Amino acid sequence: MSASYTAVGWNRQKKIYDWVIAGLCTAYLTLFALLTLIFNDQVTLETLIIRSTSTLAVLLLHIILAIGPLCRLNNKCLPLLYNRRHLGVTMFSMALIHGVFSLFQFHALGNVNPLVSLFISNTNYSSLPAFPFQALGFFALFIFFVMAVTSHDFWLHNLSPGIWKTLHMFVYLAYFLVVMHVMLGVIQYENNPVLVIMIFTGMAALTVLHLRAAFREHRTDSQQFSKQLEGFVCVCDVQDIENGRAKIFCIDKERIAVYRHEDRMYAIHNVCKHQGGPLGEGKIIDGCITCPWHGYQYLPQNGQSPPPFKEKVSTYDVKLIENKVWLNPIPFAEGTEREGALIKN
Amino acid sequence: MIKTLRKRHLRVWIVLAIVLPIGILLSWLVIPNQAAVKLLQSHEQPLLPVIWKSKDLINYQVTIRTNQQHKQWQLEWVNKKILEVPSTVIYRVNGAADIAKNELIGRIETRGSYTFPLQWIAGKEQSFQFILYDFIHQQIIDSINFQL
Repeated sequence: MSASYTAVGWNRQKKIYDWVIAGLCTAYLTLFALLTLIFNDQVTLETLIIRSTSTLAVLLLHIILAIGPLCRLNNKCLPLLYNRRHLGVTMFSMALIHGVFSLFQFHALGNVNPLVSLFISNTNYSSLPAFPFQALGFFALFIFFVMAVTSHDFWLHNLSPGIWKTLHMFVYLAYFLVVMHVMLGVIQYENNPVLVIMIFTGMAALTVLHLRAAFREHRTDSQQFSKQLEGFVCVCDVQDIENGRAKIFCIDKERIAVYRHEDRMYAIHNVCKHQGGPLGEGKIIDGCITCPWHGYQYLPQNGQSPPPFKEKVSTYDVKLIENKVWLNPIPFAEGTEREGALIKN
Repeated sequence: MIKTLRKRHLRVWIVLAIVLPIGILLSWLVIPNQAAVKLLQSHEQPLLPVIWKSKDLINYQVTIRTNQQHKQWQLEWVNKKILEVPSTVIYRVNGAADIAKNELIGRIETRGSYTFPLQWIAGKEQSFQFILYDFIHQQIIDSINFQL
């Protein structure tokens, strides 16, 4: 969380995250090079770079796409989400190296502009086995490029979260293009089924994860609350919520996070103003509700970010009757002070 | 995530869950049984002992080889430099006006040595005239003629 524009708001966690990414990528590339040299000592440096960076980019893309649903299914995966954008930029860098070297190796030595050659050297668009798969890779790389250059919060604020999220959902189209780029490209020249099995397994795992997470979210959205009293809805017992944590309830199609902080219960809108993160899955740090996605913070009693930040979310009325938590789903204006419900021991 | 985004994600993944397996399956089914490039010859086949004629050009050396009985013939092509056109094939001219109807000898790509068998039918008038052809841009790159 930063009050003004900074290229990267470095902190200890981000540094650790990036060192881990760099270490794992280096280890992968080294291992790939060693194994290739053991089994194919005729390989050229260009080919080695093209193959190692492409496989690493595909692997990273699968990890990136798995992080979202994994976090929704299990809170322990949330640290992976914290700096996912740096993982995305790393993936784009690997894909870019693969693209540039491929363009040079296969299209740069002729008398035609390499980018033009990429599109005119194969025009078999009506044939599946001879399909110009390189064009699919090019368009996927273009989407990754747009995502990488707009990944900073500067663009999130200037484009608005809605447009930014829509733009970044093109990653799914890019994923489809990458899968077809691999299937119609390298796999057409390989008799070994291992690559097909790997791509299929990756695709199946991602699909199952995303659909499982989506249906689980759908169940949360479909919660029914039978007990109602003067506009309040009985949602749970007091002891169901541990101190410093929250539970999320969906009432009238809105998700509300009920937090227990010290000796009081507070309720705020569940959606973080930054990127729509689930505030109810976070925890209270330094007296502030902290979004699990990127660490944006809000005070539980008024839903306002601590100064100098200006983000605000709606607050709700909570009351406790005989050890039960009752919640009024009608929101107060964003940033409205509520005293919370006192927990009597 | 807000509810609209959650719905959008769900819809996208329902579509991907249908489209991706179909795409993978179709791509897998159309994998050719043989390697796509069948015209590349390895240098591992033994070279015939007699050099019948040879031409040493700037970019490549072209040699016609035969055996002692002159019953087997070979074209040995050594690329000294990387070809500027990657889509290059060698045709042996048989007099056809359409280049594609001449005898296709093989494809050459990177720097190195390539060996191709040449047909020889005794008693029939034949030539050892070759053209280097860029099949993508449909241009003759070079013509090499060995006088009989």
